[in-house]
Amino acid sequence: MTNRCAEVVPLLGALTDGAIAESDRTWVQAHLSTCAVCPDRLSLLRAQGDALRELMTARGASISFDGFADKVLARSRAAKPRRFEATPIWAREMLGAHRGAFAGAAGLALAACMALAVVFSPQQQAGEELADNGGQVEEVDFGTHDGAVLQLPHETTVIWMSDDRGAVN
Amino acid sequence: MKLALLLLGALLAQADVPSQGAPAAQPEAIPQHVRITVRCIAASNDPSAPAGLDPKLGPIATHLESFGEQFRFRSYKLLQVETVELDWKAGAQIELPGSRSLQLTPRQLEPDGKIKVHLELLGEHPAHSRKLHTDYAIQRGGTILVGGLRVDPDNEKSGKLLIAVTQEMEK
Repeated sequence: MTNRCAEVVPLLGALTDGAIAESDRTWVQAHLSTCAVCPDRLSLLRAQGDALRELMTARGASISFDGFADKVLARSRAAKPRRFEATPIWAREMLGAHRGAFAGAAGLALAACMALAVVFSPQQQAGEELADNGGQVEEVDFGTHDGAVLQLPHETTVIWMSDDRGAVN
Repeated sequence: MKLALLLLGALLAQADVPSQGAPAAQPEAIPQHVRITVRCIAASNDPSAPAGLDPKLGPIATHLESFGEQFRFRSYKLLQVETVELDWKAGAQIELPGSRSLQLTPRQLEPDGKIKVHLELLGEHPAHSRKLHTDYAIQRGGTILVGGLRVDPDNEKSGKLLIAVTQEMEK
């Protein structure tokens, strides 16, 4: 393949389709009239195009388009739009155009909610602190008595033992 | 967005600041002594005893009310109260009604601020038999209740002895 052939080959498809620029057509055709190989390349390309066209025509002939429009409409009615697609166009446009402003407003709203939570959350009072200081029994031995450890409301821990007069008192 | 983040940061910083008039949080030092108050209470169903809570039991009323919901005694009378200030690992013996005694030993300060205490309840003199011993951890200001023995070992109707051991707050 000469350098000229290499320049001509990419333009053969356009020449076949009649889409080649007029400025290129002259020198491409001049090359085709003198080159021993490129006309065969052009013929091969045309033959491939014709074969594809025949194949597509044959396939198209075998497909029935009866009720095609009705089927398309039925499927489009059955398909549910995605959530974002269901959003009105004006809303999507608005969101896209003012994304920064919306993000800022959302941040401010979040900060305001947290501020309200801080302001209105109940503060622990000294009295409550006393009630939240329950004991935690780690080990207990009742000796000869029966007994139990009870955790009652208000952080009240009770160690209760039976008063068995029969045992050592 | 930056404004929101700045506002958020300011709010979080504000949340950490103590309210006006409240003392600023200081790193807690290990106390040299531990103050423990022991209250001996007669819990009874004696109809002749005044019903309800002895007014002197106000500091531990919440615990006694909680206790009363389970044990349903008619009256709670303070028999004696004693506050002891103890060194770490130094025990104190407190005499209880009915010739019994209570031994308390503050053992150590836990990493979570609780004080670990060893408690022993001893029987009548002179036998001094150990009736109960326990190790418990408690926050300053917390109270633990120990009870079940008769106030008077020889009198079945004398009611139950309830011992409230309160870990006092250091001042």
